[in-house]
Amino acid sequence: MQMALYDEIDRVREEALAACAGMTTVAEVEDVRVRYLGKKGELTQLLRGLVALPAEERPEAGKRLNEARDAVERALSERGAELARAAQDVRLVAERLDVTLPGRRFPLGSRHPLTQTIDEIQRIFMGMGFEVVEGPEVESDEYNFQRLNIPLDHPARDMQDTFYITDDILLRTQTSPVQIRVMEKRKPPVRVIAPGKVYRVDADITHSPMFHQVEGLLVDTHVTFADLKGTLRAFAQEMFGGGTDVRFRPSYFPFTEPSAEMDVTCIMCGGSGCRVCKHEGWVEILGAGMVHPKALLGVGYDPEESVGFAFGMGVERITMMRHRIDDIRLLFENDVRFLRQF
Amino acid sequence: MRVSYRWLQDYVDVDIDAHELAKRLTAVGLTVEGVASIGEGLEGIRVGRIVESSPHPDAELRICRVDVGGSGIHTILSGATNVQTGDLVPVALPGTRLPGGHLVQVVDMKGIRSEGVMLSESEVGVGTDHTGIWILPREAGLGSDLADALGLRDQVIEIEAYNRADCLGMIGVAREVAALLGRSLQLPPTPLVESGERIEERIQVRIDDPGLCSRYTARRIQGVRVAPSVLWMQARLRAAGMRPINNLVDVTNFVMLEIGQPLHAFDANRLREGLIQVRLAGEGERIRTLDGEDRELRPDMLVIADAAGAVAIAGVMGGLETEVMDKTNDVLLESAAFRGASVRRTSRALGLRSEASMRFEKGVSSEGVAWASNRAASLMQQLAGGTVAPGMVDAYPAPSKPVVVHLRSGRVNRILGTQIKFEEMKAMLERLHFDVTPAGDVIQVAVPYFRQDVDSEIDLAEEIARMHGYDNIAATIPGGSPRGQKSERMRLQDRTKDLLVGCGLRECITYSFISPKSYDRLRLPPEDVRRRLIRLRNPLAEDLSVLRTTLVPGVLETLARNAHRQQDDAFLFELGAVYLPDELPLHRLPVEPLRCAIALMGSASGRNWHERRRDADFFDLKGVVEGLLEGLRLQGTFVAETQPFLHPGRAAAILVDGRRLGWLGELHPEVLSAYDLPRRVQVAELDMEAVLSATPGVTEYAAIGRHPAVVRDLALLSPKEWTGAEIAAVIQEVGGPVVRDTSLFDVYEGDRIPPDKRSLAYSITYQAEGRTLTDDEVGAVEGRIRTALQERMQISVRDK
Repeated sequence: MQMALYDEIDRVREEALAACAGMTTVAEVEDVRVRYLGKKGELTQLLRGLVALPAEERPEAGKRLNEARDAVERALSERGAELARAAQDVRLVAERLDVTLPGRRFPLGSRHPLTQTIDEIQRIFMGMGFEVVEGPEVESDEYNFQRLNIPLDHPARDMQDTFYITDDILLRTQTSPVQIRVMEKRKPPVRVIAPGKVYRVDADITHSPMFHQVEGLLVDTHVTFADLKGTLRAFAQEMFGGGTDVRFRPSYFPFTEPSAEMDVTCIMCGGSGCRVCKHEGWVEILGAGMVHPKALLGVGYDPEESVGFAFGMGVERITMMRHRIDDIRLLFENDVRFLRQF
Repeated sequence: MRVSYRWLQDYVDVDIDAHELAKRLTAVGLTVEGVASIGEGLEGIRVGRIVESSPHPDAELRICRVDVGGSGIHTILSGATNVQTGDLVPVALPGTRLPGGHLVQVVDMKGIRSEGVMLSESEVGVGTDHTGIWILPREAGLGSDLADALGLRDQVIEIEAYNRADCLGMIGVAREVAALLGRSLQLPPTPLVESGERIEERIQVRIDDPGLCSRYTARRIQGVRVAPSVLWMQARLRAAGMRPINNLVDVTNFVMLEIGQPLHAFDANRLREGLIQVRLAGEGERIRTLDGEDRELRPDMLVIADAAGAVAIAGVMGGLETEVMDKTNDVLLESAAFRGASVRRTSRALGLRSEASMRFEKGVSSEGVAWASNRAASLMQQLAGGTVAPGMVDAYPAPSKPVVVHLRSGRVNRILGTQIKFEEMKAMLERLHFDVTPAGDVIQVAVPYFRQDVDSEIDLAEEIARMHGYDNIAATIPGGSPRGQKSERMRLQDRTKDLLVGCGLRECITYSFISPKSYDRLRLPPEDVRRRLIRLRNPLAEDLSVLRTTLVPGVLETLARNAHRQQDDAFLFELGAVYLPDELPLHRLPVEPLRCAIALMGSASGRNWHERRRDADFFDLKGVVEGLLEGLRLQGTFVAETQPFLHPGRAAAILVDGRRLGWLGELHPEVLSAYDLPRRVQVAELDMEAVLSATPGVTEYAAIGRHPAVVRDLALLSPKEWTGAEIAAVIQEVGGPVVRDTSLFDVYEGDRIPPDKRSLAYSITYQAEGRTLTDDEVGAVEGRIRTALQERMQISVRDK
């Protein structure tokens, strides 16, 4: 009796293990499990039969049966895992994509390159405590010229060919009138930049009748020409890179004195000389100077108390240099193939 | 100003080369635009003399026998007719390469060998005259190198010194050079031998308005002989960019280039004697100017007049009738100081700009007038063989006094951020010919007459700064701790750009001035307020002549330009001002409200293999606008409302809290064709000022429901007249706060439902605060919604 049972256990065990080894698909795993380990499975039936055994025989028979069940479960799960892996491998191979095909794009937008340059200039000057302000594009002759020390019939008007609307109203030729408007409204200290559109009667590959400037103004009690140099040098090095060198040359603007132009080492050639810098190694970036006492007096500041410096730079010029754009008109044609590049 | 390096040596000993000098000049504020070498490539061209000349037997040519000095006499043929035996001419013998690159060779011309060429001015590269052979002045040495003989080899430094009228003369530049090199300046002497009748016997001068002419002098030089100028004079003028004319005119130009004082020579015999008047032109007065034009003058133009009328437009151009001609032998030389603003107005009004008018505009000192007159008279006497009448007529009603400026060295250092000692400042100023007298704490500085640009302490600070060297001033960072910031309006612009860029749009920037025809293309009726346009007085072109009152034409032109270049897919926006006058013509500055235009053409993703190409439609644009509003935390509503340029059935107004922020829609087909646009275009414009005032500040966080939500679909069959907004509003109103979200996921019109109906399918999210909704509760709310839709709107629910 006992031996017969043990033989039966061994037989079922061997049969089950053979069935496990013979499985070829994941679907068979469940079939085999049910056949041997399910509620009516052969091993399960044998386990149930244990109750019919005499008490002293049960432990040994139980032990054998449990061993058999464990062996079958192990074989099932090992073989099952093997089959699952194989099936997965097959699926993964089948799901292979041509990864070189183009992706499904979310459309990208972009800011205009001029906006990006202005953003960058603003970021740098805001970091140095400058507030960003605005002023009108349609200006009076008084603010655009006279208050900036450029009276009627002054030759300096030739520097800026002007679009007029009436005798007294024009399109501003520079962002400098914003200086006057800001100083009229505030008492020193003043530290502002004013980006915006300006207009001059001029059109060729380096001149646009509408272009952008960023004006800057700093007025306080102890401001020096040395501060002007330091501030603008810090700007240039952040804008064009830490290795940028700057050079200040005397110049003339009616509303600043002393006046200067700032050159930076050519960002194309680093100063060794190229077409962009006309082999000078330097390119002019901005005009600047100490605010003329007449301009300060005109807004009710006491030039003995308040000193300041102002500067102005052309956004197109800087943008064209940074991106090596050789024709200013590209900036206003807004060809999508151009805009996409920024 | 073209500064000849050779010429400069006449006044100051320059021992650095032209390029080094250029750097130094730039560093003191005479900005050098470039340095050019002239007279290069003339090697091998020599001075020859024509010793014999005869016609060619078989051709329209002359056979010249030309003596070229050392290498003997050569036969040279020429088609030119202006040469005679004895003339000196430039000759290039075979083997010489001309400035234009041509290699001279022996050529056979109808049976006679020509052993070289004789050259015109333009062939040598010194002038523009190519009509005949260049007849050289007598003193050119036979056989010598042409460039050497004529002093053609030189370097020209082009300088720009905008406010330095004195540097529009060689001597002014030389003064700067002397100051920066620490050298002395040598002024040329002006020896005069006066003889004959005193000038006052023949001529008186009267200045009507000393405000317009502070000084007028006249000298008379008699017995001159008009001829070409001597070589050095010609070389000087050419280096400075002027063309030699004759010895008299050349002297006036030479002295102008030398000292910056424009001069004019009248043919004294053709001037009615007696009184010369400096006066305003009479109403309708006319003058024929040197260029042969007959011009009508305006009563605000200053003229020089003799008894018979205007003989010159003061400071601008002389009259033809009293012009110096070949037979002129008696010259009246004018040297005067006219007011810059007046000369400027006149020359602009007449469209006549000259070297002279440009110098007057920038300022000519009345103190320099007499020296220039004497210098010119001296040169005329020397070079044209004249005798100078004793005396100078000198009308100088109010002689100018030297400007004296008070200078505080401490103040200068405070502005510059330097520690320059007083003695150093004094030395710098004295090198520049300022007269410095210490007087206690301040220093009195007398400004030399030629420095009309200096009249205040700050001007002297600039002189000191540039002499000290900008490079020698430190670079420091200003103190203080201000806040860098942007206004709310600017932050709104930034946010708007971020949102639209996030929607896949490209920012464009178009001109603020547009074509007035744009408004016809947009089909705007005459009374439309957007037709109230500010017009430029001097536009570049009619297409760029009015200030925009809407951004739409600019973006449409941009789309059209792209489409014309085969770029049919363009999603663009522009943020910029429009210009709205409150009255026309303009008396006050217009308002410049900020607008935002959005324009979509074609497909966002172009053609690709993932999906079918689909052109943007109204709802793509609406989606962008909705996204923008959501990003700005605004609750927008849209009501059907059209614009003349929009599709009447596909246009809406954008409202927030009942306020109109703008509009959107599909472009009208007629506008599409007016702009030659190949695809449907969706366009919107928002008034950013209204957006700004509607935009809330920092928003308050709304709790996210933690209890599970129930989502149920509701498929409706609605009469067509109900809008989606109306249906959604009823669902929300009846459902109350437990209806968290109503999203439309299907719309159908067609064969499967009655023609007056459309089917709308909503997915409704129910969620309560603080508890889980039961199915019964949701059912009850849905039931109320069904009933309300049925009873109020005759909308039935299509049950599955």
